[in-house]
Amino acid sequence: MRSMELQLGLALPVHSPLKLKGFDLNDHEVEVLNEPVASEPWSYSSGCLKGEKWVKNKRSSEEAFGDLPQITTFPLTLWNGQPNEDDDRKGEKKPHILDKKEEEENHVVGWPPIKSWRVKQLHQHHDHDQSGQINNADRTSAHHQRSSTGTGSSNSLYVKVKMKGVAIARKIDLRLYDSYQALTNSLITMFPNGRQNIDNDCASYALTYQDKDGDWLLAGDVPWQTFTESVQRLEILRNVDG
Amino acid sequence: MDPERKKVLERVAVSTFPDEVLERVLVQLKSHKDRSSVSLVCHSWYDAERFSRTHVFIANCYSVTPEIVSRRFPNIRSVSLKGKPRFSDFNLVPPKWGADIRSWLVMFAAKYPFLEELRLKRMTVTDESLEFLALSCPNFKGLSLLSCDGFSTDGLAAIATHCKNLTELDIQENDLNDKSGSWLSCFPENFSSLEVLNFANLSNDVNFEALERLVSRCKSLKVLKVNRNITLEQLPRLLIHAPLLTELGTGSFLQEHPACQYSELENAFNKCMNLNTLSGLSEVTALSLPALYPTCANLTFLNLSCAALQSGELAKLLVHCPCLRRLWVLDTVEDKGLEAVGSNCPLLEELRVFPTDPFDEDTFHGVTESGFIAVSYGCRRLSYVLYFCRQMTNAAVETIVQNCPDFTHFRLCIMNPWQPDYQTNEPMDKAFCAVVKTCTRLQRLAVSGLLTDLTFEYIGKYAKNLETLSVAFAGSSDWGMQCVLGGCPKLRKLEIRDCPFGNAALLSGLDKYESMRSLWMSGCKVTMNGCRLLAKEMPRLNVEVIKVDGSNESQADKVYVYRSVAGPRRDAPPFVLTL
Repeated sequence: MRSMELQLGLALPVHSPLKLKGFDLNDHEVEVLNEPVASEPWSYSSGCLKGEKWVKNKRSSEEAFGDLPQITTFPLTLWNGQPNEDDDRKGEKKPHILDKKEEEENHVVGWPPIKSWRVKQLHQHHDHDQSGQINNADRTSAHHQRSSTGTGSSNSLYVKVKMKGVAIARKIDLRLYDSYQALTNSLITMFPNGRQNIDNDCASYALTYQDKDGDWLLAGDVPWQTFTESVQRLEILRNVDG
Repeated sequence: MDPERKKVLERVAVSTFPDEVLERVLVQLKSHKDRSSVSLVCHSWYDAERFSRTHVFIANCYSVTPEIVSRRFPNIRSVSLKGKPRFSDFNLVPPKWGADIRSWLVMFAAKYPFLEELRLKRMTVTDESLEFLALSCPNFKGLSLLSCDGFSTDGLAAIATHCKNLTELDIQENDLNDKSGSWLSCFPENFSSLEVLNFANLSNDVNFEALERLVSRCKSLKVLKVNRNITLEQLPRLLIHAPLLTELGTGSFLQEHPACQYSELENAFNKCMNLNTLSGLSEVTALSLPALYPTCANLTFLNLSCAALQSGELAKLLVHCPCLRRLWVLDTVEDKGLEAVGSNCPLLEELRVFPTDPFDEDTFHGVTESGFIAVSYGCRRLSYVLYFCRQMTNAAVETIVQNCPDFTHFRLCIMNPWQPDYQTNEPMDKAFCAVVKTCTRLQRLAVSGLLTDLTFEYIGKYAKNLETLSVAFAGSSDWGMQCVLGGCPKLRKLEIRDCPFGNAALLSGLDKYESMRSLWMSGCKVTMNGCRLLAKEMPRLNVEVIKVDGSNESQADKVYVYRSVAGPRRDAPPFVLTL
């Protein structure tokens, strides 16, 4: 299923050519661009998927996917800022969402259909998730300045949480917790699948985090407040010995 | 009685019914649909209706000219106008497309100097226009701007300065140039008539003392929605001056200094026992939320779409809101939060779930089909849903509509285009078939996911009351759109993007478009020739093509077709071709 989603994702129509890291979608679309204007299939520039085969018959999804052979061979790992690449780039700023410019290049205009002011609000919300010292420091000072500058900055602190062996990461707001215990309790409920074959003992897991210097540390050594000010992302590791 | 004699008597009866009496009766009619029907009865009723009408609603500003409106309705006090096609909300319409209020204002100044209310949606409004309005209509009372653009806070300053009798200033979701908050300070010190003030979407600070004074002077204030810059500490100072409030939009709900203000806040909320609508609550946390509990008993509309609540927090809050009819949330509440909705809100009629991460596909942070199902079991009266999710199944939707057959508005957005049922890998046709078959009252439908022409066959066949249909990334061929145009007798608005529908589909609706308000097709397979043919066959339709840079000559990138008695637009920009 995931591979099918990726295939679908690669074929997203956009108004400007997709620029994915390490892959130029145009390579696969050359056929479409060269087709004469008067013919049936949609032209790439009008933002549509090469649709000739879609038009002729009603097709089930399996059939349809089978008609895009080039894409089925496309390796999974090259899709769009893949999560795995994060770990290789120690200390490099890697926003969890694309910054605005990339977004415009990589996503369909006006999709999903959310009004622009909500999108702006989401950007403000997410700006505080980005790694880097600046945001954390700003957050505290912005806190006090808020009544005069009125930037309306969000005071939530969303960080990504991953667990080895679990495909999908989660995001949590660290502002909601006041201690490591509260955090770990919450994480346990969030990642039940990872615990299938292990007993319900917290000691079997290690919570690690990446700090603002890019280093991976074991959570729990520093006071909670210090931790929240420097954490950028979390990862749960299983202690094989535990 | 002899039928001939009966007819003669009836005719006499109608013609001797005095117009003045008829007008007195008709003044009571508010619904514009009723008024439309009345005006079609006979000439004298047409005249009586047009003289007695005080409010006119123009759903498409280009369907009629200001002159025609003023000639027909001489006594208008209130005007509502809608401009751009709805997809302009999602950046599909280039800037400077049109829908400028200016020409209307010139008419108002001349023909409706006693104009009291103006409600605009998706129109372009400049600061000069706002000032012109304020100066031309001395009795002006109510301004509502929703999704408009072209103005700045200077325009608001003009309204505040000159409109001595203003009762309503409602500025929502606009694309305005927010220069500063000083407009609020332009209300004169003796000004006290305001009943509705909504500036929630503005981002600059207003002078808090000026706001506080304004609120305390306006004894009839019923609706107050402030922006995020107003802090939780400042809020009680406003609330104590506005005991009559029925609708409140708070600013930031973040507690900066925990213990001290809590009691002040609680007291303030304890006084607000008339609140039925609550919104804002940005940056709300588990700590500040309980302050709301006393005020929630009578809440019917809770808008949490700016508040990133987690499931547990929502659950605790909803226990206090048994009377809720409308709920808007962010998908941070997740399925668990929606289960709490199902458990606590049996009277719920409307649910909207907005995404917090629409562009980030790799974190799972949202709602699924389970949450929707849970709500449907608990809230059997659900009639309006807007649901953004990343996965859905046919079986889930079938269950949902079985539980809630009274849907009038069903807007499902599966955020990844062409996504099939994630369990069976089938298209989502069965889901929407269930919706249209079961929900006989359905008026508005938005479809998503992988859909073949079958979905549209069902829609055409079963959706007898459907008025608005939104389609994106769906369908297999022209046949799909043809089915919709061939069925759906009440269809008024059809908006389509990125679907494989071409000229054959477009032209199959020849007979239908005059009974519809408008058709939008973008990213489809329609060509310029197809549009020209449509324009030629149907002279009373305006067929407009928006050309996009870099597209080829024969493709019609974005097509907007609408009925009009005004003829072709005279103010079309160069990228809009009227055929």
